Amino acid sequence: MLSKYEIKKIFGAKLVLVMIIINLLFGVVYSYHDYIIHHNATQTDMTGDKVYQSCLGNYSQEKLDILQNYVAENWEVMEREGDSKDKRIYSKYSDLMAKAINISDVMQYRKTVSDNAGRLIESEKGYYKKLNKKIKKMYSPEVSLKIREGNVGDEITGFFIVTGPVDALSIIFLIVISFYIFLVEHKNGTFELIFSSFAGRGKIYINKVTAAMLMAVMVSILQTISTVLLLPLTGGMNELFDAVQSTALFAKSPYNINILELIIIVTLLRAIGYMVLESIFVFVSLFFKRNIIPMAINLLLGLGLYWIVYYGSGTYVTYSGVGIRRYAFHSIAKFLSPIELIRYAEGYLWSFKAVNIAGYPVTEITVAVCINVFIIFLLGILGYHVYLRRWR
Amino acid sequence: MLEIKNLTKKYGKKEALVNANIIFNKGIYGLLGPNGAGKSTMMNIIADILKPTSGGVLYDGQNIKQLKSRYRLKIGYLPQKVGYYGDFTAKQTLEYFAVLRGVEKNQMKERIDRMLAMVNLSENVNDKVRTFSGGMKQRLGIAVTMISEPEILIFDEPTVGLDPKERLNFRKLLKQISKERTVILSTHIVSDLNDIADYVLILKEGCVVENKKMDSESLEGLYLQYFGNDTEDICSE
Repeated sequence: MLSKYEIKKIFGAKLVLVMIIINLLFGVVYSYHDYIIHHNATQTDMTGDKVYQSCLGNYSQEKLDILQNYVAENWEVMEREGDSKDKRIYSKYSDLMAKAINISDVMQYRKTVSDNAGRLIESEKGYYKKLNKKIKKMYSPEVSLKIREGNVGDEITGFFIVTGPVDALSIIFLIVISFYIFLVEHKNGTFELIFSSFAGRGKIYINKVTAAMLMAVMVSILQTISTVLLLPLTGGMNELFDAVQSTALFAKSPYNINILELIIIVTLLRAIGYMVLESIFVFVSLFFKRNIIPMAINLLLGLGLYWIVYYGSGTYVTYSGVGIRRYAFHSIAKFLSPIELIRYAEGYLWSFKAVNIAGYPVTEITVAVCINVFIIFLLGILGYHVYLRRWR
Repeated sequence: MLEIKNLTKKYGKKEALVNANIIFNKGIYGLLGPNGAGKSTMMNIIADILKPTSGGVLYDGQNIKQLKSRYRLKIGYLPQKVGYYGDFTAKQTLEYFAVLRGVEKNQMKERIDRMLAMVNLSENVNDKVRTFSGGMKQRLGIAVTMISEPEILIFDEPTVGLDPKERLNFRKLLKQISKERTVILSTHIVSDLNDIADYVLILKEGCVVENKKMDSESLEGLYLQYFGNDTEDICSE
């Protein structure tokens, strides 16, 4: 019951409401801007082409054969000069064929990985036996991949995977929220009133920290909403339910999830990252009575950490409008830093990577989540000791 | 019964409170002294906000350190200059502090209504606190302090910033709520204690220099005795 009042205190601040609006608008504008740059609008109407339409939908070898045959038989169309309807139709078939080949490649990749893992299960022992059992289990299930027009799946993921300035704004928002957890009590003169109350120690601390964590989750959800608000522009809302392997980024993903589930998972992972940051910001605020110094410290910590991990992650290279990064020092950042969960949560889902924990293969995503959750609890416990002792 | 025993509080080399020994029974205790005398320090220690450097506070013979939250159930503390939460209504403010002060859920509504009636804020139940005057906030403060019906009430400079009429109203209200309770009220305004205090404690430079029952002797005269002249070595062993 106390948490609802703590949240009311936060939402009672005009600055918080302003930040919500700014974050929402900024996320919408930034993701739309990214979309406009990379959008590959297809103008040719193929609704009347029955052969073309018959190749859309669930993948099959027959459909791939039809597309390959069409492209092979009509390749001379592209030799003609200038633009023509035939050329545009040929391009559509060619794009669709490329899509079908990608799907075929994905299926072949999964089969190869699964078969290799199956062989290694027989020949390996100990950790590697367990590792390959896990790989086989993850890559064995068939994924339902559909042949679609355009790159809507990639566009959807492109919409959603926007970072940099959007993350920075969210971090600033979290710092503002941290003011309204404990510092606000000193400002209002209510700290002593609360601290001298029956429930003014453990109970109020837990409720305040809970409110802070809920706000961190809200910031993540707000970021997701702002970046997917204009998804209907892609015209491919049905593709939200396509397997993630239908997109270029996640072609090798072992996870049997669709794009909508991907969005939800990334939101949750990002929320954990924001919860760690908010725990840090609230912990710092416990040492002060006024806002200025903790604000400066938290800005340095939050944005500084983000900058370090961003630049330490290596070179940024673009491919078909989707970013691919090469890590220079990713191992520490991936596990110990909440920044990776904030900035690059989807990276954990691209492919299968495991860590040897006492002879058992544990996925990187599991390790990262466990470590970050542990950090949240550790900061919570330390913060409680500071809360009890700092101003006595 | 509340007792402070050999209570000392030091901030570095500065002694804010020096070896205070007082027994508080039922009644209104006025804590008088200029700024920096140690009044707020004493109040904060009694309210279990500050830790003493040495000595302790006993409630019915038990140290409040051992009693912890059970002691805090018995007290209601109103610090100086509380701003509350501007966006909360009077009702929401009382609900919040009722939960904090351990009021049972099934008693909450009745208790809030009664407290608001007691401080004449029933008509402002759904008004936001930011619209309240200084006097209304102070009355709300009394309601907050009383919400758990504690045995011990501690008011730290409750009349600061109030106009004379509001100060008079506050004194009347205090008289009303102090029946069968221990009330500790600190102030540097002598007239605040006229007609209401049963006992007066005078603090000077961290020492309790006077601890007596209020009688016909002029409070102003007593105050001047300690603060009208320079007096050395006032803290005797």
